[in-house]
Amino acid sequence: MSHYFKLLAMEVRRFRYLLAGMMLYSLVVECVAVAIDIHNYANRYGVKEGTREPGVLPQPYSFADVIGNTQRGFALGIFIPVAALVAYVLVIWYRDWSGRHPFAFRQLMIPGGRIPLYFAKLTAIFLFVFSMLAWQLVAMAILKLEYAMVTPEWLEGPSRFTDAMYASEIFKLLLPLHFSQFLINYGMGFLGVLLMFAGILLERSYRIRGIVLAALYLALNITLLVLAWMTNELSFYPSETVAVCLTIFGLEVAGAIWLSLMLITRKISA
Amino acid sequence: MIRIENAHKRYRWRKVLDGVTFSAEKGQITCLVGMNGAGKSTLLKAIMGLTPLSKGTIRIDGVGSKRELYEKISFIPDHAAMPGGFRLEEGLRFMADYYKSWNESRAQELMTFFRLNPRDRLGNLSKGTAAKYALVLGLAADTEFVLMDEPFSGIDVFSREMIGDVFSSRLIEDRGVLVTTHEIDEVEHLLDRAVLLKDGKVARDIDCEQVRDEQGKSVLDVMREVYRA
Amino acid sequence: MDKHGGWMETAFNTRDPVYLQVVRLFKERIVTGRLAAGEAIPSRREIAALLKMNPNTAQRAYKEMEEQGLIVTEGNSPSRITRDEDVLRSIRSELLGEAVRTFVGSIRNMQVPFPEIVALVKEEYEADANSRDQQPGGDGA
Repeated sequence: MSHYFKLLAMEVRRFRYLLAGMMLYSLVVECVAVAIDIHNYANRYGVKEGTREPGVLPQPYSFADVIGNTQRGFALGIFIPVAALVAYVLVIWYRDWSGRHPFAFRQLMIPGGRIPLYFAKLTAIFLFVFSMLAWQLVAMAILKLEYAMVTPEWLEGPSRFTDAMYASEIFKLLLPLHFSQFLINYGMGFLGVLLMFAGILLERSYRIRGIVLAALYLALNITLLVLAWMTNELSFYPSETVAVCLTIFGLEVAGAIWLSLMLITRKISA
Repeated sequence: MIRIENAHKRYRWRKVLDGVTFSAEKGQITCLVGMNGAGKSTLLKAIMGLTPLSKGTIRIDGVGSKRELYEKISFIPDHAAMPGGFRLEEGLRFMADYYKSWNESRAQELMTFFRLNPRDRLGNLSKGTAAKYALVLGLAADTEFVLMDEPFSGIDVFSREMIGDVFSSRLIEDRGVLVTTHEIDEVEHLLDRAVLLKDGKVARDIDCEQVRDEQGKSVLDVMREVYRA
Repeated sequence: MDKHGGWMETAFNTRDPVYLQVVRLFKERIVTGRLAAGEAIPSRREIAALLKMNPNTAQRAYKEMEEQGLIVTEGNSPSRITRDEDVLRSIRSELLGEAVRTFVGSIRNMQVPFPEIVALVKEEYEADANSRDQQPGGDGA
């Protein structure tokens, strides 16, 4: 267990600058998007309070409105880090096989087995994903402050924090309002990472043949999942479809972990 | 004793190892000799569980399991096997963190002997200096066996001399050493045994002093017989 | 002499057993007086490091020297060169005999008459002795 935590700490340490960079990036992009949007809106009604026509009160422009109208900016701020994290699912393994002094040799020779190594890398990915998610919430608070400072007083309107969040389609996806939807989104993400890991380990064990095996393995798993989902188009009760999906999901998770651990302990080549 | 029996390994269509059998004894320096691509490194990696054999068995002191393997044998690949961004002291801390057999005072002694600066980053070192660091990481642990993969290849002459000194020091004494090389010069007079690989098989397995004593031949002479034929 | 007692200038050839080359090295040092009768010699581990050789080979060389009566080891104290005059004399005659045999072997085919050889040897020997007198403290031998 102590090896697992040490390895996890090391994975975090090795990614810390990139993680911080991604956080800074999305905050800056979102701040700029919000500032531009408020500026544009205010311009439409005259830049300064004194220049607007008396008697015509513009619609108040709440924080939720701002978020709803800056979705493209948010997409930019969030899409790049998400892509980077997806890429890191690959990089977290392949970086150890590359370079002049491939670290994989050392990692695979740690006394006490390689299972902690696998779980440390898996946990690290999720730690990074949830760190970014948590950071988005912090960013929202910062943006709210920015909104309060930038928006002309006569434009400010009240809004609740949750309304602001769900004015954005991306947030509906990243942080679904319903817990079951949250579980589905992140459960699928979890399975996706497990399958990618298994695919990577297949490639690391059997090289070119491994790529073919990995492709077949991924295709099989995706097909099974889609078939399970399609049962709701047959005359199944919704609860039955859920049961089938959960079963397939559970089997795939277990299968991916079993395959990965078998490969990393017995078949992998440094 | 490290005992390898009937080792087979193929990379796609090429048979790299085709029934290799030999042993490396504790307290002896055994050299695996072979041309490039003869499967020397593959054998070392197979002993360390870093690549599976297609067929064959590997036993360490009669035991086949990998438990305690890494506390018992240290492997020195032809690189330092640490992230390039690590400072040398970070690599030492990594080893101390995971290995019960790690001997910190020996590590410091070796760092001094090789004149390595713990604050340097691995990525900035020359090949020769990195090779010395790889030796520090491999020799500082109190292991019974040491495997070294091509410790001299592509390294400047003074680094070679320093690395050669290690073989005659107490760092090696009493341990079993299995070293691979394709150029025998540096180690010829240091060896107890030489195992010559050719075409995936053991072509000769010799006691070096005995061959000199009985046949008046150097290891290089025996290599000529095997590889020129 | 350097601080390692001149051991580090040794180079081995690859065709003769290394342990026999070590034994030979000790014999030469005894005959030339660089090692005195009864003098303590480096431990096996030390000599391996000094001569940059395998400690097993050093062990084997010391064993050989013990068997030949060249060195004696008592308990835990360091090995010493023997004080046995007979052994020391026999080493001297062994090396001398070998050198002469080598010399004779190398001139055998030149068909030189024996008196001429003796004269040449005498001349060369004296010249060598003179040149050594002129640079006192050379090797300190």
